[in-house]
Amino acid sequence: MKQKFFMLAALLGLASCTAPFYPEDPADKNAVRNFDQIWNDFDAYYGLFEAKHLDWDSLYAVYRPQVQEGTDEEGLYQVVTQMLGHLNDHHITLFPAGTDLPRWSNDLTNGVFIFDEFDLDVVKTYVSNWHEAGDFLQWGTLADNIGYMHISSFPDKIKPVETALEQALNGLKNTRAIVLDIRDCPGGFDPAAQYIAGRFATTRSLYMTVRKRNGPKKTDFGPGVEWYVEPTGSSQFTKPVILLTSRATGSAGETFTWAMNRMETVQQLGDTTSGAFSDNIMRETWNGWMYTISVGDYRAADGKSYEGIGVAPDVFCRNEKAEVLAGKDRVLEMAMTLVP
Amino acid sequence: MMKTPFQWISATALAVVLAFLSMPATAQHTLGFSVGLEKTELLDQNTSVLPYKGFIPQAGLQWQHRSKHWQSGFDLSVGRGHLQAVGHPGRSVVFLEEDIHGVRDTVRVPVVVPWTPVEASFYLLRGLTAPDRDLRMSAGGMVSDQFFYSDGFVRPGLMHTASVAPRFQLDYRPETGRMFFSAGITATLAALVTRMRYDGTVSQPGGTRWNGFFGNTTLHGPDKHRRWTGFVQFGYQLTTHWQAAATYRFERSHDALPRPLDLQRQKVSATLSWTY
Repeated sequence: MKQKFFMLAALLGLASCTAPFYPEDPADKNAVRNFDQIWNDFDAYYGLFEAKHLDWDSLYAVYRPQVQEGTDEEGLYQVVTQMLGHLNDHHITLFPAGTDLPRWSNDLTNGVFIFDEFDLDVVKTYVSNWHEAGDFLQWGTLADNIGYMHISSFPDKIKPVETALEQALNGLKNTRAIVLDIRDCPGGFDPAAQYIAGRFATTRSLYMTVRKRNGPKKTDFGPGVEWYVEPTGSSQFTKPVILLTSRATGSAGETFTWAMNRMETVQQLGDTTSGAFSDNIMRETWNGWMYTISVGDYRAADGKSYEGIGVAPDVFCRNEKAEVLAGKDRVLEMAMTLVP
Repeated sequence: MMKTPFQWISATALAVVLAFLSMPATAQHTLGFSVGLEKTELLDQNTSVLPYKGFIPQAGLQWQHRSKHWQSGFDLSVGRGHLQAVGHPGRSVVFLEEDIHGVRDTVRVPVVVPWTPVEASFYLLRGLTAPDRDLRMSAGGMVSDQFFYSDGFVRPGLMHTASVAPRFQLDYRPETGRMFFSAGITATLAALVTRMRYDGTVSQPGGTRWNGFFGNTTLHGPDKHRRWTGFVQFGYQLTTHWQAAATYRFERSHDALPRPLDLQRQKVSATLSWTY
C-alpha cells in the first residue's frame, strides 16, 4: 500500500515541479507598456500604411507622450482610439476586454453601430415566396417576375454556400432579373464571395489583387495574389442583376461588389460601401485588451486601393429612417424600376 | 507530399497494420483505454503576447505489441476543453446592438479559447538487453501526428505537426510480483509543421480554410522545431489478462516560425488494459 502511495505522490510531484516559460503574472496595466505594444503590433502587421499614405512614426511621436505610466485605462483608451482613428479603417476594432469601456471602431457611436436605413422585415413585405437557404441567404420573388436574393454574410465553409446558391438560383431561374441585396452584409470569407459571384459570370475576369504583410518591416509583403471571377457551379444566371449596397456593406461584401461589377449584366444601386476590404487579425496586449488589424493591401482591377473610400454605386439611392419605420424601402422600389 | 492530418493518420494506420501483419504468432498484444487530465500552457507570439493555459480532459486508446526482441505500439488521444489568458480569468467583451426601432441589446461574450488536441503516434523499439531480464532497455523511433485546434477571438497554438523522433525506453517487469514500471523519452529530429502564416489569414482564391492553413506547411529541423516528451508509468497486474496503470506524461515544444510558439503539456492519466 505504501508503495502505491509513493507512486501516486511521485506522479503528482512531477506534474507540479516544472517551471513555466512565461512570467508568473503576465497581466500588466502599465499604460506605456500597453500603448507601445499596440503601436508595435500595428507597425508589424498593418498592411495599409503605403496605400493610405500614413506616417505611423509621426503618430507615435504625437500620441506616445500623452501616455504616462500612471495613466488609467480610460485615459489610455482615449489616446489609443484617437491614434487609431487616423487610420480611417472600419476593420480596426478595439475591444477593451475586462473593462466597462465600449468597443471602439471608426464606424461605432459609443460602441454601437447605428444603421437605420434597412430592415429585413420591411423587405419581406415586398417579397412573396420567401425562402431561407441557410442562415446567410434568403430568396423570393418581387412584383413583375423579378427575383430577390438577400445575402447577410459570406460563410467560411464553401459546401453550404454551393448548396444554398443551387437552391436559390434554381428557384429564380425563370425570373427576368434578380435584385441581389447585400446592404446589411458586413463581410465574411472572400472565397465564398468569389464562388457566389461566379454563379453570375460568363467569362473570366480579374477583380482584385491582394498582398499581405509577411514580415515586421512596413515594406514586408508577400507576392500579389490575383483573384478572378469566373463561372462556378452548375449554371449561371445571366439576366440583369441589380446589386444593392450601402455603407454597411463591408469587407467580403465589398470584394463581392468588385467581382459583380466586372459583369455587364450588373448594376450597383444604393450607397457607397464601407471601404474596409482587407482581411484582419486579432491581437492582444498585456492588459487584456484586444484589437483587430488589417493585414492586406487589396487593390481593385484598376490597380487602385479603395480602402477608406468604398465602392461607389452606379445609381445612388438611400433610405431615410422615417421611411423604413413607415414600412417603405425606397432603394428596393427603385431597383425594380431599373430592371430593363 | 502528405499535408493533411487525414493523410498522415492514414499513413500511420497503414504502418500499424503492416507492423501487425508482420508480428510473430507468439507475440503478446495489449489493448488499453485511458482517461486523463492535461495541463496545457502555451505562448504563441504568432497571435498574442499573452500566455494561455487550461486543464483539458483527455481520452485515449493504446495498442501495444511485445515479442522477444521487439516492442511496438500505437497511441491515440483526444482532448477537449478551454484555455484562458494567464492573468485575465473571466475576461469578456461586450457587444452593444441597436435595431432600427432604437431597442438596445447587450451581448457579453467570454474570451476563452476552445482547445482540441488530437494526437496519433506509432513507435517501434528494439530491446538492448537480454529479453529474460526484469529490467529491459530498448531504443527505436516514433512517428507522430499532432493537431492542436483552437478557436475563438484569438487562436493561439493552432498547429499541425507530423514528426519523427528517436525513443528510448526502460521497462521493469519482474518475473514474480504484480507491479511493473516503464519510463521513456523522445526528442523530435524533424517535423512537417503547419501554422498560420505571418499575416494570420487563410483566405485564398478558390480555396477553403483548410487549403489556406495547410498551404503553409514546411519541414523544420531541430533549429526551428524542438519537441521532447517523457513519461513514467506505474502499473499493476490485476489478473492474467487485465492491468491498470497510472501515467505521467510531459511534453515541451518550441516552434520558431513565423513567430515563436512555446507549448508545455503535462498529463496524468489512468489506463485499463487487456493482454491477449
